[in-house]
Amino acid sequence: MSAVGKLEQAGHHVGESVEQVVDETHAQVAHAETTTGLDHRKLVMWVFIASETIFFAALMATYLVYRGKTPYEEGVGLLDLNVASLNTFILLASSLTMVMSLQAIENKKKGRMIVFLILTTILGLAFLGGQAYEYGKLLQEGISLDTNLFGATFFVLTGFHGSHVAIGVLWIIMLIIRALRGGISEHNHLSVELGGLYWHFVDLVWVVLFTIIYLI
Amino acid sequence: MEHGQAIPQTTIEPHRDPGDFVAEEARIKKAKPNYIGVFILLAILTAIEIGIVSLFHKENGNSTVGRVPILLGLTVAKGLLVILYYMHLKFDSRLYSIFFGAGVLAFALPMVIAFIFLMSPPQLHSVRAEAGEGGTGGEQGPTAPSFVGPPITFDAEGGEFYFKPDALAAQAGQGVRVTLTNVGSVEHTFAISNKPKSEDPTPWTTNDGKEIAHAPAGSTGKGSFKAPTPGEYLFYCDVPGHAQAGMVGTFTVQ
Repeated sequence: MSAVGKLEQAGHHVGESVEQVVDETHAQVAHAETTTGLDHRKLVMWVFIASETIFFAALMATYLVYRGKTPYEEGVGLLDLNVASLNTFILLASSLTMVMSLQAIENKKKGRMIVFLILTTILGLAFLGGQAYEYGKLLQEGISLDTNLFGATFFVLTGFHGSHVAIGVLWIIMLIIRALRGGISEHNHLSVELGGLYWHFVDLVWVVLFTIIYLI
Repeated sequence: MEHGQAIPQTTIEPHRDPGDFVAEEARIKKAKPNYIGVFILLAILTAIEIGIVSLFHKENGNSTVGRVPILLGLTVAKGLLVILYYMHLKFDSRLYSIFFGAGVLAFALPMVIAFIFLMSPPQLHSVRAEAGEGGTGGEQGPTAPSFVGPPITFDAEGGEFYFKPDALAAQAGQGVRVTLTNVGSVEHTFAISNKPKSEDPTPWTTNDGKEIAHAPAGSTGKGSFKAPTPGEYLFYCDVPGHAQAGMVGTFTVQ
């Protein structure tokens, strides 16, 4: 008891300021009081992205290991660089529209944000369309998931990326719906930032995929 | 005490406060990232990548070694632009960078490198040799002639009991892509003999050939192979009786 008392006395100064700070923090922040001083939702998003990096790295490594094991004319030779290049520009542009939507809501322009989110959705769907076209051409050539090593590694790698794009599109559509219902405001738009982080990550993965599949 | 230590941190550096978006946004706004500029830069880097690929053609599927580091460097530059600007890591708390960086540098990158070096080295030489080679040409090994150039396509129609056309010519080592369209009412195949015609005039009886493509009745079969050493060979349907009935063609390798 007396020890606690002494401690309290010794740290009276500190204690007081801590209480003051706690009050201030509570007043300022409704949702976050964390030991890191960071919003855990955003931190978890980054941890998730780091884990996704490892996931895609495994698939990329597999693709690279088996690269060249399939005859050129039955594998990489069938790919169309033009379609892939167009898709690259589409996805890069979608990252731009995504970051512009975040900037819009930060600047208190909600309508502008929704427009940019819709543009991102359209670009995401265009990318998926390009991928579907590419898949269709490969399947026409008789290359599928179980044809050869190229087919197996290519479809697994790009398929997982494509499904990430599809999930991203759904995510953004949900953001648009939420915004229209009034769930997103200039003070509460972490959801847009988190969706954006995911979307940019998907773009980032494609930047690497484009190089290792179509360029090298 | 732990609690007490953490809270002052937020006051000492108020911008670290996550809920206080105003401070965070103020920093990003102050930095004024030019997102359109970043996009233009990304587009230019991509255009350079595509330009490099278009200027220095792949030789039979193999990259000319020199361009790989350049392309990887450009890719890293593009990735960093996306991470630093679009994903805001340049302006955000360093803790996010640490979590992401740990994932990439400690796990993902070493894993890719380990995979490639642990799994590939014994085959690295054969990878180079096999690229551009037919799926069944592997056993030709070091004696397989090297041919630099695009593969040829051979579209044949098969029926009872003929091939149309019934002659095929290729360069030694050249890849040949075969499409067999079966217009008949029973299944047909496209096979090539392993030995020249002079050594083995009836490969279908000696069973010394390779099936390249297989087409059930009314459908199409595809396959590819690498043309062997120069000579006169036969291609035929390896369904018993079909070659004898006339499903044979000549395959000339120059």
